[in-house]
Amino acid sequence: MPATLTDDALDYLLDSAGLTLTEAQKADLKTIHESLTAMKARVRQKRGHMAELAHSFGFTAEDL
Amino acid sequence: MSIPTLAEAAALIAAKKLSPVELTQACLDRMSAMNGALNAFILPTEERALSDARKAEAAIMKNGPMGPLHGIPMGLKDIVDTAGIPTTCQSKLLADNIPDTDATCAAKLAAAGTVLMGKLTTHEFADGGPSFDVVAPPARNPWNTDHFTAGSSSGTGAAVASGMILCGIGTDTGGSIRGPAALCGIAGIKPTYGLVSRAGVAPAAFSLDTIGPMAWTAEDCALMLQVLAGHDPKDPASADRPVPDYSALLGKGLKGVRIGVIRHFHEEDSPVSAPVQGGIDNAVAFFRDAGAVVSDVTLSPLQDWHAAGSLISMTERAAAYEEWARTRLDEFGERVQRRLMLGALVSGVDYVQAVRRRRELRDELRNAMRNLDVVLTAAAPGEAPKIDAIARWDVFASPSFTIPFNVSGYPAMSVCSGFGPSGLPLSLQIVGKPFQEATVFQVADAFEKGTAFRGKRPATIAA
Repeated sequence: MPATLTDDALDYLLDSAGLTLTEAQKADLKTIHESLTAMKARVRQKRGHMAELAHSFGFTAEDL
Repeated sequence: MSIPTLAEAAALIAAKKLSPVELTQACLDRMSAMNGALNAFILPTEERALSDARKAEAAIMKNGPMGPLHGIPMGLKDIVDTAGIPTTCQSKLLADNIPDTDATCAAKLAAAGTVLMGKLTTHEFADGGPSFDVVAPPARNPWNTDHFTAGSSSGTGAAVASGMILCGIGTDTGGSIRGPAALCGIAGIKPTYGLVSRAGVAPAAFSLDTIGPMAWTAEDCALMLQVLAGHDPKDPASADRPVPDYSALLGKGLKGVRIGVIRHFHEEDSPVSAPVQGGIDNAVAFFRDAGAVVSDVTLSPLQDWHAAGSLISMTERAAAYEEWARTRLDEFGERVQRRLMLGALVSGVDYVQAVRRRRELRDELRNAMRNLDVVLTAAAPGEAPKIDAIARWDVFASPSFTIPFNVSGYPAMSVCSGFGPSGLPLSLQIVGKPFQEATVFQVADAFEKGTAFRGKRPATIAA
């Protein structure tokens, strides 16, 4: 993930999401880019390509 | 009239020593005296309350109570649909919304004979708060009205703590029952995901949303959950399991109960305030003295749980409200606008990675609890902050102690663990295994009855 979020990149993402923001809102959103990047890194633990999603809780007897 | 617990009121009503009408009038008097300052209710329903109370009284005099909730004044968070009664989700977008049907949880409580006191203040669409730019002002903490209640079940927390209601519905996506319970000094449980129907309740994040009871005590929450729990085909995530007796283990003591403390969550990963730490330490000592077996538990860092839960929450919320975000963003309050904008910055792949991490974290908790009955950690980092001091981007300010148990789906409860130097409540969190709410209540109830904290109400109450 890039260290900074360029104006063009942000405009592209907002356009894709269908959101219309003011310049002040865009500037505000850019302030959390680093924090959000850190959050995304935390869910990218080393795992194999076959690692499953938590589709459902699927509680089993082992949970109880 | 002093404020009874739900259990106390139920016993008095059953013995015909307390009239539901008298009880309701006392709650209405407190509402009249305090709601102006606390904003706990967005819509009081006084006439409906007295009508419900009179019907309950007549029925009880004739046939006795249907159950412990018969004649009990309660409130519904204003994201819960109520037939014929406005349900605004505290939003301009739904300012004129009047549902045709009750949410399942509302219908169940009505069928149990409760008295509807009104619709309770919430954060807008059960999202972040407090907001001062939505259809009604935010709720304030009854212990000190300059302070935050936490949210999003903010009104429920304030109304229970101040005795305007004896119990109420909250919803919890990342801590929205447990946060207000913690900061308002009451009991609140986020049940196992799927235990209580979400049908008729506005979504926040579909795979995290849970409906649950908030009341003065754990015993009261158990009585309320007894009514709420159970399969509902209208909720696709509804668990289809027998409903046990949630009060069965109350009073059984704690000898041999195995309690794990996730110490690193609140001592290293995100250190809590000294008073909160003291409350947890005292609770651990209490549990040991009561015969529980206490050990330490190690999981992935709190920040990992927070990241997975937050990315899932942001994305699911952005999807649920996509149409309005695209066309009417400026009609949301600013705080929710900011939260919805985040959806643009989280990709589908980010979401999937978060959901893969969710499975890994859930497996960790399951393995850690293999030989335990409950685990314990903080519910909140400190006493309630000032209401105007909540971070602009609070989701990034510090990791949440409550979201790990939305990520895992396990039942988790906040109870009062004392009072801090400002006189505001302290709290701790007790987490059980899936569908083992009875054990959570057992531990929480033993703690409440073995300590004196339930004897203190906010000084602002005109009892």
